[in-house]
Amino acid sequence: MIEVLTAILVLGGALLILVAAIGVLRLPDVLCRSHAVAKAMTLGIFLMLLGLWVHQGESQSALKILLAIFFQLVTIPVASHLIGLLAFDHDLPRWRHRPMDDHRK
Amino acid sequence: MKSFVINLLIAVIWLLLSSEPSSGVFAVGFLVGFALLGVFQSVLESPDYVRRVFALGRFLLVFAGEFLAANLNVIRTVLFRSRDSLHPNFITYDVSGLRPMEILLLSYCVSLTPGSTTVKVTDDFTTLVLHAIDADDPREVRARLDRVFRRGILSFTR
Repeated sequence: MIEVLTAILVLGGALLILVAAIGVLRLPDVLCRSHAVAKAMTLGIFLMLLGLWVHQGESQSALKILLAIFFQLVTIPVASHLIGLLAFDHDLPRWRHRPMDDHRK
Repeated sequence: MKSFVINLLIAVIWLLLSSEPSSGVFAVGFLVGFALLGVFQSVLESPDYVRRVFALGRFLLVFAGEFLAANLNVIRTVLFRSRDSLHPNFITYDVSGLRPMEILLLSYCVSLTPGSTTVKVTDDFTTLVLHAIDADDPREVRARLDRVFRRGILSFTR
């Protein structure tokens, strides 16, 4: 039972990371690519670590796995934010380059 | 915040008193502390601690649902949609009146939920610039942020 659960979690995580990689290749510009990476990577790594946790059971490593999950969840969105900020400040080429929709105007 | 520290303190004392410390014992201690704080709510300085914790729990559930939806959305976008069906653009969102901590939480939620990533917070902390993958109806994107996240975050930070 535990093996099946572990397999589902780890394989699901790996498939999500694969989707993120395909997204980097397929989507048209930097910002769209960072969408795929931010979301699919976060959940992918989360599921893989969760699978590891289920596999190990309650042991010394459980706390370390929890810490790893915490830091992944906190840092990946920040990385995606920084990539977006760079693309915004340098006005990198965008798909359907339209002016920003500004609520202040 | 003070109540949370008291709650944590009770959990640590509970852990030290137990014969076999483990994460389960700590969780029980935390629940006991929470129940105590709930009982003595009216005498403490922050009488809305219990309400805030429940609001936080509800918000976390909503967030988890949105996070899963975001991932299904990414899978659909990456595998099945052609380039021509994408209409990405930058959208601004008004965050004046929120504290920096609340803006941080909001930008984090924006990054992990369907169809949007945070791009920039202006220097005066009044505007959040985000990038949406389907930006044909910016009003709808802003309304969704208002409805789902702004209300949820404000329900436990204030």
